[in-house]
Amino acid sequence: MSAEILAFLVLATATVAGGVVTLWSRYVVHSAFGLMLSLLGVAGFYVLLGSDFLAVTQVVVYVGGVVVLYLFGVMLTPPDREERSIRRIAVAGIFAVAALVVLLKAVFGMEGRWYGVDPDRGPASGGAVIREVGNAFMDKEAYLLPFEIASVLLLVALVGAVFIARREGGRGS
Amino acid sequence: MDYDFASYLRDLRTIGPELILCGTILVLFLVDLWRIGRNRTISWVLAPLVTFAACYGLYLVPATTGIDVDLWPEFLGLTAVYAVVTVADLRWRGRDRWVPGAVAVIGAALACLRLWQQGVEVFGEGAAAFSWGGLVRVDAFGVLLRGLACLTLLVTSWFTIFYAPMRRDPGAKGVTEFLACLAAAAAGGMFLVATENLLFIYLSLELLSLCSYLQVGMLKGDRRSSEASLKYLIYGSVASGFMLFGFSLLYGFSGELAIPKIGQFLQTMPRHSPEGVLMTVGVLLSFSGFAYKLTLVPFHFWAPDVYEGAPTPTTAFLSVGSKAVSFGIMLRFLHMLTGDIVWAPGLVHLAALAAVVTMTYGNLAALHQSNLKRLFGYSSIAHAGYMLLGVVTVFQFMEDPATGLLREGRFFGEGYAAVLFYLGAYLLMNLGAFGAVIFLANRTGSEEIEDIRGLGWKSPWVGGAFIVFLLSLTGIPPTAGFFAKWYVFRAAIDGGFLWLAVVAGINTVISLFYYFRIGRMLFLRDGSEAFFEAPRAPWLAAVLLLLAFGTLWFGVFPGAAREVAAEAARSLGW
Repeated sequence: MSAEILAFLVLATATVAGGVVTLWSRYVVHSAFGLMLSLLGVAGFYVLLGSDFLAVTQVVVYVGGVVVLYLFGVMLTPPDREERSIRRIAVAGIFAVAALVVLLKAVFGMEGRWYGVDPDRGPASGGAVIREVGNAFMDKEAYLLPFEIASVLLLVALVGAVFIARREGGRGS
Repeated sequence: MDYDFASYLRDLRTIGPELILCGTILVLFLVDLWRIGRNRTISWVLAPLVTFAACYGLYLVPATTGIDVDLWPEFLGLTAVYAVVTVADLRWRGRDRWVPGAVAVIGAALACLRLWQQGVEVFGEGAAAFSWGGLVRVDAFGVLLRGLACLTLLVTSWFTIFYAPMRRDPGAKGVTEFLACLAAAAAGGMFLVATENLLFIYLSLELLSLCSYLQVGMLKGDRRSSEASLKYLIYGSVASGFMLFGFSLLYGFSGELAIPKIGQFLQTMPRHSPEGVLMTVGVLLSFSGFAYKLTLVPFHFWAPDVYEGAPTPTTAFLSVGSKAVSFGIMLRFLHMLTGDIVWAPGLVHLAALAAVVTMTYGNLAALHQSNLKRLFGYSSIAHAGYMLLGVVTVFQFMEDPATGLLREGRFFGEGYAAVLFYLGAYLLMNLGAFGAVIFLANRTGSEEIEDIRGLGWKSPWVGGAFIVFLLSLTGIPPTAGFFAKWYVFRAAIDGGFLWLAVVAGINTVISLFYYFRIGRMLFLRDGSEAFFEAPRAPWLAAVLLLLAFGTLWFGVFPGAAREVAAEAARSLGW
């Protein structure tokens, strides 16, 4: 078994397991973390396929954006009484401070570099792929039209979803 | 890179109708904003300013660039929207629920006008033109189907104005969102038949589907509507996933996104190779995605519930517009199966089987329905089966009996033209039937067949029109439905599928029972008919009469429409 197949199997297991946890877990937080695992697995597939840009986008948008948004949503909904124990809050606080320290160290340790890649002199491939993707989206002879139509899709889907999700008699009155 | 403004304008022109629909969505939201806050001075200043700025922009484009594009329809449309909104505000303040509908109707009418212009250019030309780097293909076939989708939008927007659950107080708030979804779905459908690129096909199909799911669930407070929306969403996502997997196989092996190029790859592909098997799987999975949209058995499970639970204008749109463009993209897809492809005969029998099962199931299930919309849901499944007959024959004509290979046959366009004619006739009669359902349900407050008892006598014009639609749906002359069935059956017989035509004939007889039941109930006189206060809707009745007239017209003079369908079929590039 080659390393590639092994990596694929591991990633596929993680993706499917994450999906199963998302569906079957009774706790919303566990579901969110399951979703995160699943999305990370998909990002891994992109890396495996040599599509670094897509992988980074996947992590930034879905894992970093969407799932964190879910977690914030869960966090801001009123908790159960039993979850409000001092011990729990203290443990969470220690973790939060530790994470903050690590992040701050990482941020100040960067010194203007982004993951060690200088955008002007870095490895040619990374910048070139992003530039290519950007150009394809903006080129009339390539994918400008689908790019714009996608925005129509998102607009209407957003408006419709807000309408469906809104409580009855919400607007105007 | 060379940014040539003239070439941008030329390309924009090719998707002009869709752009108008996208603009209509924005105007709908703007008008809504104005209507919410119209007591504030700012809206009085803002709305005219926006309108005039838009008009001025349209005027400015040709003036500053020196490029000659006529934009008078858009100009006229914006002015009409402005006039409608202002007059409604001054004259019918507080009773102007029809304004969003009127805006959508104006937008759809403009798009139809643009398509008509494009049709005049394209028909008779023969060759297909490409724009947007080959993503958009402008040919007679595409323009015809886009026209059908756009006409459906026009009529269903008109229906929405009169649709009671959307006029009642709490529900009335969703009309703008509903119409926006309707217009976006129509735009998605129009893009779908204007392209042969897998990526763009998928994107426009998703635009169509997502907006359909949303529309179905927009009767808030109605449990059937929410349930239908959820079912539709789940079934739809799975079908879309299968189709996407099929697309990825096709793309993965051929390395091409354009359908004709995939077709070329299929023909040069070595037979009985692993790639061949996987490409077959890809084709089948793609077709299952289309079959889902077309409610072919066994992909039909969503249809009855969705048709019953959705707002009636949505049901009308799904059964006509969505079906027309889905058939369109399926026919385009078949385009790549021409030539020397070993497994195409297998597909023939699969499609023939699907046609038989679909029409029989639809008709038998429709027999014992008590809800009008549900009945038309099943009848719509049956009609998809009839239309598939025309598709089946296309396969058959490509088989060469001597060598067992596939070749171009004499009757190539026949089946396709029959399907296109059928879609046009179906637009007239099925939209008419759903319009009549809206009209009658507005009186009775229910969509049960029992409740329309004797209503035909109370509104003889609409009752008469409904009878015309029912006759046409059954396939009785002199209606468009008769010739639709006639052409499809004849194509099947010419293609050597006599048994299919016989089965379809038997099915037509079965369908007579349930269509007749509606007609009988409508004109039943047993003194027990409920007495309903009759809300007058002369403008809805007028459209129904127009549709009935069209149904009769094409039932007496089908020749010209048939020619148009044949030319559209030829423009596929056989």
